[in-house]
Amino acid sequence: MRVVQWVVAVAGELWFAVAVLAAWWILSSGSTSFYFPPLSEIWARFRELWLFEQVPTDVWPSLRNFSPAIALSCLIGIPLGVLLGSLRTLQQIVSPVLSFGWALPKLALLPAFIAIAGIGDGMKVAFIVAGAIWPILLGARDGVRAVDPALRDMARSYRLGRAATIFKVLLPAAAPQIFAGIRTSLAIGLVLMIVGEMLVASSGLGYFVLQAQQSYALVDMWAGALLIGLLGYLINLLFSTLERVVLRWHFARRALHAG
Amino acid sequence: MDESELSRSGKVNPMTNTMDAVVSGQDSASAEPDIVPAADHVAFTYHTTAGDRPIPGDITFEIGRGEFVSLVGPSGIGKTTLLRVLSGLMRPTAGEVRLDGQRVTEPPRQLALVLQDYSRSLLPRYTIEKNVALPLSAAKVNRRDVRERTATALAAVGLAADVDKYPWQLSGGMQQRVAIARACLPAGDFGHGRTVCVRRRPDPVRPRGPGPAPPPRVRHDGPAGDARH
Ligand SMILES: Nc1ncnc2c1ncn2[C@@H]1O[C@H](COP(=O)(O)OP(=O)(O)OP(=O)(O)O)[C@@H](O)[C@H]1O
Ligand SMILES: [Mg+2]
Repeated sequence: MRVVQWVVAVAGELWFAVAVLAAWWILSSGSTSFYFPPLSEIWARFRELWLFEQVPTDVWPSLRNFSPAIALSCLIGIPLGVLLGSLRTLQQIVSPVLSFGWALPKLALLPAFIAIAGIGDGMKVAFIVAGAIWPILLGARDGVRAVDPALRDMARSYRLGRAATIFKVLLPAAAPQIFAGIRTSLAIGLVLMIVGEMLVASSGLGYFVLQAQQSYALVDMWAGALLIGLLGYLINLLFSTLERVVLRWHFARRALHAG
Repeated sequence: MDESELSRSGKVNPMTNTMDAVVSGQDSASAEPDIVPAADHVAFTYHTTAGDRPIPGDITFEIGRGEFVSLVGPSGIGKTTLLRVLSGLMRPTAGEVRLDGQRVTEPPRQLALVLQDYSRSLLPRYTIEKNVALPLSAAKVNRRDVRERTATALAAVGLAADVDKYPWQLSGGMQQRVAIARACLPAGDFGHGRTVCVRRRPDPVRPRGPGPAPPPRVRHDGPAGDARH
């Protein structure tokens, strides 16, 4: 029964994507354009490349930078955000800097990163963190600031102590906003990962796509772009699942109020 | 109210919906003082950007052992404010709050507070059992004790069957009972607990004549078990 429900849910989610792909497939099938090769050709190339021959050389290096960068962004961003959200004066002092950091287009920093940290993996991770940390930090800060005063009173009047107050009261209450921040960070991180690889790398998906384009292997280029799109989608899907599990109470309560 | 009466009638909440309460329990380890909470010329002023908002009253009283005290006054007069000051959540702008002779500056261990917006003081992520147990767990009481005392308290307020529910799955009155169970727990025993409860004046809103607002009245109602409104 649950399997059936699941299939129906997935079908409901995917039918439109499938329709778009089908249209692309049919409309491009007779294409002789150099720039828009038939999807069937792209798909054939996709299978050759990504199932799974080039995975160790191009996909793995990308993920090897992306995952630790996101983990690091959470590890730094969440505690810092909680701290800022709890200390009003500190938050007032640093908030202009935060707004600046958030507003600054991170690509403008890439040359500086290269100059300081070289073109190794460490630099790429640092570069992704520099862009991805902000939504998490701001989400944690705003989430903690928005915690119901009644809950703070409760924590104080029962003398819960700092650790219990943070882990049992503040963090759970801020969790929905922290998760929203992480979701944005994933999208930003993916973009920065690709761009970083396009500009300074000798492996990775961004590098692959740009190389393919520059050597007029447009079918390869499309196959690479398709993979990047799918990767982004899968990461999002994975994250949504995690969110549903961790924030089950939140969604259950919201569903109730939505009636 | 003694414990048996509590569990028999499930009547821990003789108050209406709009209520705040401070429950102060006797600390079984300490000697038995005669006076527990006391206010000495307490006054409070809210400082806001729109100007100062003084709460009427220069309040002095002492609450003796076993007394059941109500704080009565019209809506918006400052009952919740006074209670937040008495319980150490806010410092009085004048005067002094004492508990067993000690000046109160932070919420003291022997006091528990059930404010008016009790439903917002429950954690939505935890079942009501965990909510009630939270102060005990945080105080590092051992797990078996926590479970037993939590179960007793929830049974006393008639929620034994709902321990695994979440606060947002309960009615307003049930949430209030969860908050009361939680407040009664750390104090330990219901029998000797002291309760300060605040409710809106029960009679309908009455337009006030000109002149300064009267301060809230403190009413001493004798032994808690006899207090009925
Ligand atoms: N944080 C605040 N800042 C400024 N003024 C406040 C604040 N909280 C309460 N007040 C004001 O103080 C007055 C007393 O509020 P309080 O909540 O103590 O009333 P109350 O007697 O508990 O009323 P009710 O019976 O409606 O609960 C009100 O006029 C209110 O507007
Ligand atoms: Mg009130």
